[in-house]
Amino acid sequence: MSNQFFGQYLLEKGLLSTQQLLIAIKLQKEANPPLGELAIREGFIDKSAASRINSEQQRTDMRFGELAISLQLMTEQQVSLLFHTQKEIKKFFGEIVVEQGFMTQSSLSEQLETHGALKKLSLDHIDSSIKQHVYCEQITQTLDAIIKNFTRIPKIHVQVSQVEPQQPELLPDHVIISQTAQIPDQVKIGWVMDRPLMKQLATNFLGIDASDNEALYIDATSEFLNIILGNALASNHSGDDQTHLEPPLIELPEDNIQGSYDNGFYLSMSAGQDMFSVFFIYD
Amino acid sequence: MSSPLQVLIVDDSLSMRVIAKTFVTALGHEVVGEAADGKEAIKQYFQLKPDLVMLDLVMPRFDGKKTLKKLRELDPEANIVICSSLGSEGDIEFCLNAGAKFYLQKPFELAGVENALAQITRPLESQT
Repeated sequence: MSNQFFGQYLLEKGLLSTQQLLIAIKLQKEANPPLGELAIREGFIDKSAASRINSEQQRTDMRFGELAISLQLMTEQQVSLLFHTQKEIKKFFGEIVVEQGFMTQSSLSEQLETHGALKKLSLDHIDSSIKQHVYCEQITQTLDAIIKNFTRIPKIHVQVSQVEPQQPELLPDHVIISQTAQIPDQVKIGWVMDRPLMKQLATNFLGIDASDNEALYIDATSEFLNIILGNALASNHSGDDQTHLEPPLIELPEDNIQGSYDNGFYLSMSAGQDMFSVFFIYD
Repeated sequence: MSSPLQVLIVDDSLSMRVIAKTFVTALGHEVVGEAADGKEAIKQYFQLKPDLVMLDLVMPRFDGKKTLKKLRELDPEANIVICSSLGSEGDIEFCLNAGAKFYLQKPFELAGVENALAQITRPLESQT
C-alpha cells in the first residue's frame, strides 16, 4: 500500500502487535523530541518562552528555531547545537523495533526494502510549475497517491497529462467530487470526472457492474478519492498530528458552483482514452 | 478454529460497506448490521450486540473517532477495528489508545481483514 507509515505496514502484515506498535511509537517520540522540548531540557529557554514561540508559530510559517532567534530568545549557536543534538539522538522506527526485540535485524531489512519500494515516488516527471508551487509537497503526494491507487484498478492506467492554466470547462456530464483537508492550511482537493469514466472506475474498483446504479458509481468514485486523499495525508503528517479530512462533497455542474472553483491549481490527467481534472483550491 | 463473528460495518460509503461485507463473509463471519454514521452505529450496536465493529473514521455528522470514544465509554469491552483511509502515526496512536483492537488502512486486502478479525476471539459463553 502506498504512502503508508512503516509501523502500520508492519501491523497489517502481522509482524507487530498493536501493543508493540504503541510502545514503538511512544519510544520513537521520546527519542525524537521537538526542538522546543530540547531547548528547555538544555536550559536555553523556559516553558513560557517555548509557549510564546509556539503561539507565534501558529501565526507564521516560520520554524521554531528561526522564531527563537528572531525573538532573541536563543542565539544562532544555541539553535544549531540543538539541531546537532536532535540529529545525534534521533532514532528510526525500525531501530526501536529491533532494539525492543519485536523483530530481527534481517527481517527488518527485508521489510524496509519492500516498504521502500512501495513508497518510491511513482511520478517520473513533475511539471516545473508544480515544483514551484508553494504547496508542491502536498500536490506531489496527492498525485503520487492517485497514481499508486489507480494501479490497483484493473484496466485503467492514469498519468499526469498537464498543468492547466485555468479551471477546465464543466460539462453537463461532469460530476465534481472534493474533500476539504487541513494540511495545515485549509485546502479543497478533488476531481472533475465524466460519468462514463466514473462508471468504469466504480465497476473495476468494486468488481461488480455498477454502471446502471448511479448512487453506487458516484459513491464508489468518491470513496476512491477519500482513500487517495487519506493515504496522501498520511504521508504528509508526522508525530502527534491527527488528520483533518472532511467527508466527500458531491456537486453537479447545474449546482451553479463555478465561482467557488476559481483561483485553484488544476491538472489534467489521462485515464486510458479518458481525461479527468484534479484541482487544489486553497483558502 | 474460532467460531464465526457477528460484525457491524460502519462506513458512510455504500461501496466500502459492499467490499467489507464481501471480505467478512468470505472469511466465514456474519455481517449482522450496517450503519452509515456514528449515531446510527451506536444505536445498532446496542440493538444487535455484535462481536465486532468495523469502523470508518471520515464520516459526516458523528465521525469515527467520536464514535470510537463513545462506544468504548458505553461498553468498555466493545471490540472495534478501525477501517480508514487515514493512517498518520497520530491517527493510529489515537485510535489504539482509545481502545481500538486493530487499525486497517484502506484500501485493505483480504489478508489484512483476516489478520484484524483474528485479533477478536468470540467469548465461549456467547457462542451458539
